[in-house]
Amino acid sequence: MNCLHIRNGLMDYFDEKTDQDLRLEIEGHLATCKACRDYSFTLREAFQMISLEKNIEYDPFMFTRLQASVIDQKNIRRTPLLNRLLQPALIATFVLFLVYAGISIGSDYNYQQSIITDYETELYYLNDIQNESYESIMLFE
Amino acid sequence: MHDADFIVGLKNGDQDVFKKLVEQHQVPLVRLCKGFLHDEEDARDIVQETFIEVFESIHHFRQDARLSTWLYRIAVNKSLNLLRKKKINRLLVSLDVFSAKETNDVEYGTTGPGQNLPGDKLEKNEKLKQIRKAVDSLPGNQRIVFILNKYMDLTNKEVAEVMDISLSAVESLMHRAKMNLQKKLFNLYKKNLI
Repeated sequence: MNCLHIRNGLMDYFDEKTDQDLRLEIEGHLATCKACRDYSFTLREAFQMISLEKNIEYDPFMFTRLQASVIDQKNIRRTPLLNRLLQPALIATFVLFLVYAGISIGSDYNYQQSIITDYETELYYLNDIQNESYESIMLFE
Repeated sequence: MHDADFIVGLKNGDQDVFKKLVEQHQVPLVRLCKGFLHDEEDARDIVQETFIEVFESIHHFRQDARLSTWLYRIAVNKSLNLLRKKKINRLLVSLDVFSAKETNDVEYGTTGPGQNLPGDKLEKNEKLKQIRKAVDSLPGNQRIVFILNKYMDLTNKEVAEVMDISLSAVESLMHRAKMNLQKKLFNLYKKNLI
């Protein structure tokens, strides 16, 4: 029986799932082959490490937390749909109102500015001196 | 308490029955999830989510399997979902070169407060990390079968019920899982990593 065959059978051997003949062959080989024996110790240690991961402590507070979660979720579901929709709807309406107000104020400001510009333009034409260049005024004076 | 009593009690929203369910199944479920996640905190979070889902979805339970089988199935699926999410997050983080190393170590539990440990404990941590990696590298169903068997001590028949596959399929998966794991562990042994 070669070492590869022994190694392949080690896991079942540790799980006590090998038949009698195979178990005896493995034990016989391990007694004579140091390399396989060393490896089998390492493999057994590896499985012991896995077993240590199974050590779990009972958490006495898990049920309390679960109860709180379940009650919270029930309360959310009990809140009427209307109430759950109302708050976001109100916030959206308020934001739209602010946007509209901003646009209104902004367009009113532009209108005021345009009135002033028009007025200045009228003044400009009443006083034709603006149509004359400075040089022509100086030349005549 | 029998399954039928649990089911009736949970459907009626009986808190005492729910408490008994939690007492009975908390430790095995945390053990199961820890087999996938290697982190006890994450495992406990998943177990909490599992119990909440069972409590809320009990009316949808078709009773085609035992209640415990249903619990284990939900826990396995939630654990695998969390692993997928973490994998995506790790992929995103690994795009940032400076945090790549930290991510790998956090995954296998070798960073954090426990790292200024005496030499032999650090060596054991490293070995455990390698063994976890070897188990995690098993193909999907082989890994599930191995964890259900080794971490939950379920028989092949019970594993077949949880996974909803035949007994012969479980035996075949278990055999292949052991062969694959044996090869990986031997390679680690040759490299002196375990």
